[in-house]
Amino acid sequence: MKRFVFILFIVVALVSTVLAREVYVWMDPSTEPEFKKWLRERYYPTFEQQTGIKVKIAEVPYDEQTLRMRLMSGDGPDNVGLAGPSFAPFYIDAGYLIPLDEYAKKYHWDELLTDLYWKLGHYKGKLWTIPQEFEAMVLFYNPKVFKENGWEPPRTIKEMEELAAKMKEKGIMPFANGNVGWKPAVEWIFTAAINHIAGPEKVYEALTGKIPWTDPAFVESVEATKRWYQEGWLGGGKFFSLDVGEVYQLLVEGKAGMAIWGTWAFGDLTYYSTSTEDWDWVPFPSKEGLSYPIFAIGVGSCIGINKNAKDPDAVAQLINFDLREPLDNLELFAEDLKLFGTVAYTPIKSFEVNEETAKKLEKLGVDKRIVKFLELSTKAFEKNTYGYVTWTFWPPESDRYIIDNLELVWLGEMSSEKFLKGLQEVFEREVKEGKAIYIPPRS
Amino acid sequence: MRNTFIMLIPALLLIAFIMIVPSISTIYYAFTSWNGFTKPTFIGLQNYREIFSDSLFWKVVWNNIKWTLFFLTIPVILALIVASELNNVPQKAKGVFKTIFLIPYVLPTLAVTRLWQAVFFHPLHGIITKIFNHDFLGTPSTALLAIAIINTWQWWGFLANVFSAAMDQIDKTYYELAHLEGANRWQMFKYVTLPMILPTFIFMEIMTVVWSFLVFDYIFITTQGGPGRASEVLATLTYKTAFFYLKFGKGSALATTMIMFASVPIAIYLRLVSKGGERV
Repeated sequence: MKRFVFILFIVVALVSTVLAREVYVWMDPSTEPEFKKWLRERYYPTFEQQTGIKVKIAEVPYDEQTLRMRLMSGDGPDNVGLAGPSFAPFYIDAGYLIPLDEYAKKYHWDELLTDLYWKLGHYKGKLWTIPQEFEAMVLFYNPKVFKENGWEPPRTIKEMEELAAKMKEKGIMPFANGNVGWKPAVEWIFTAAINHIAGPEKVYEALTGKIPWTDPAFVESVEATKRWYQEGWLGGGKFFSLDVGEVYQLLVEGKAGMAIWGTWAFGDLTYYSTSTEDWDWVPFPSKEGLSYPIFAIGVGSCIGINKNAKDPDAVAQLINFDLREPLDNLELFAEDLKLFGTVAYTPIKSFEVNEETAKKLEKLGVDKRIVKFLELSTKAFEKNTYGYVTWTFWPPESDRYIIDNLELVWLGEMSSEKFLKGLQEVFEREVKEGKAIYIPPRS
Repeated sequence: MRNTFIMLIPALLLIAFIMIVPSISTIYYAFTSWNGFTKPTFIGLQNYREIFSDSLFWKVVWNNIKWTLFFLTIPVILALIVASELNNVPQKAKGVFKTIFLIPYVLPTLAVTRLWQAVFFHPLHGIITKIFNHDFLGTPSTALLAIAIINTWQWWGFLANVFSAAMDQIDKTYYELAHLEGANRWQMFKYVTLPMILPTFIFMEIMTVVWSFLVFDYIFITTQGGPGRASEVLATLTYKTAFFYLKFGKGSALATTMIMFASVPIAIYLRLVSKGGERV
């Protein structure tokens, strides 16, 4: 009898091991320890508890090259995170991902995702990735510095420039911006300028090929970015030697008055902040004549399923768990927002950030400033006052062209006209090659 | 004989996989259009035509030449002076100095570069920034020079050690004779030291040219080739072309041009060796 029980035990153990469902995920080693802890001890265990699927975490540098090499060798995480929709076609054409249409049907993702996110995930008629994260370019400022000097947050470009000049006079860095450690930080400035000076309608027309990038409205925008640099406002004239990791500190300490960042900075600012008075945000100022507020929006990343995933169904379940987080696990979502800011937020149809939800989130401890953004940006979608960030809506090479060449304009080595002519050439070529990104029609 | 060959097989296989296969692959990809994901397409010399007709390429080559000229002179002069002075120091102290000078060389490049960026060239509170009231790394005209200074700090100690070791081999009687002839220190250096360490000197200068055309890490960590293209060199351009623009074919073509530039001094060195034999 004893022998029979022993054999039965072994068989049960073996069968359960074979049948145990598992998802293999990557975590970047450079992630803040606090964030790692939350993912390890709270987020994934909640998923495991609710689904019975185990999550195996490996600390691997989550950069594009490592990912591509590992996928090439038949390895990589089960849920493949990409830098944005413009990168997805490379991975899809190479056959590294599987289509998600079946899972979309099963989990009703078409009803869950907003139209923009749903369409951004498609390529050649199939759903391949789920766009994640929601971000927008805004103007951060230090309320204490503003209060001490009797300044009001600017609403127009003119007001912002006047304020920048005053700050420089007082020895305060006007914009805490730099690009050491993250060269693409230069495109944040470009994105802010074209959407808030030329305006989102013009950007839409250029992205859909109705007008060229050489349009005078874009020349004016690029000239403005050049002025901001040459006046010594961006990073106090030290934009090219200031580290992107240091700029948060400069703002919260009041050494800088404003900053042109995206809402991904919410998480970092919460980390550096010591009081509620050391940072706040307003929508980025618009040129006179344009509507206010405008939010140049973007998708931070997108996620697909590795064709070599052992249990793709389990991976789809993890994606679904993540998407439905605000609906099914509001408390967990609140914790996510507290740690990661809007990086944790993917807009879904059934979850509207209205007054009621905002109150609930605040009650759960989410910073008011983050909740305010979620509320306002939702309205921007409704009122059609949203713009486009370069890293989501520009084809990959056009985006890279901006990063590598805008600096030359600022340094006086290239004219704004020549820069935009070059952009138009690259953009046109990429559109011809079928690399254009889906641009939602403006209703 | 047969056993010797068998013993060599593992090493030969290793070399084949680590060096020969990637080298041949790079040459092959240089004639293709390849995004690193899908199958490469053969396009003949198109990549080279694009590279050589791009003014950026020549600007980048010029940056490499400036870098080479700097490293052929400044660290070498510094190392020669220090190595000569070490000759006049007691043996025990000499060992201590040589070890101290070698310390920067054994430190990881990333750590050294980040340290210099934070302590000396920080745009707001760097020591050198404050002394000269100038943002070296953030200004196009001084960015490359600032990076070269960081590299020199790590490099010159190694050079000094190499030169010092070569000087140790010189028979002391030459110096005694020169002294009796009334030679001063400069004359002793010029007529005794330098000719005697010439093979080492030439070898290090040739290797400096090779390494200068392959420089990548210091530049990529500090400025990534910026501001603008002020510190862009062949290796950073190759990397960006391949990994940022996903043009692996063109990146491979750029890599082969790097190899060509680096091969010139190697060819000169081999020629010198074959001609001069024991002299070099």
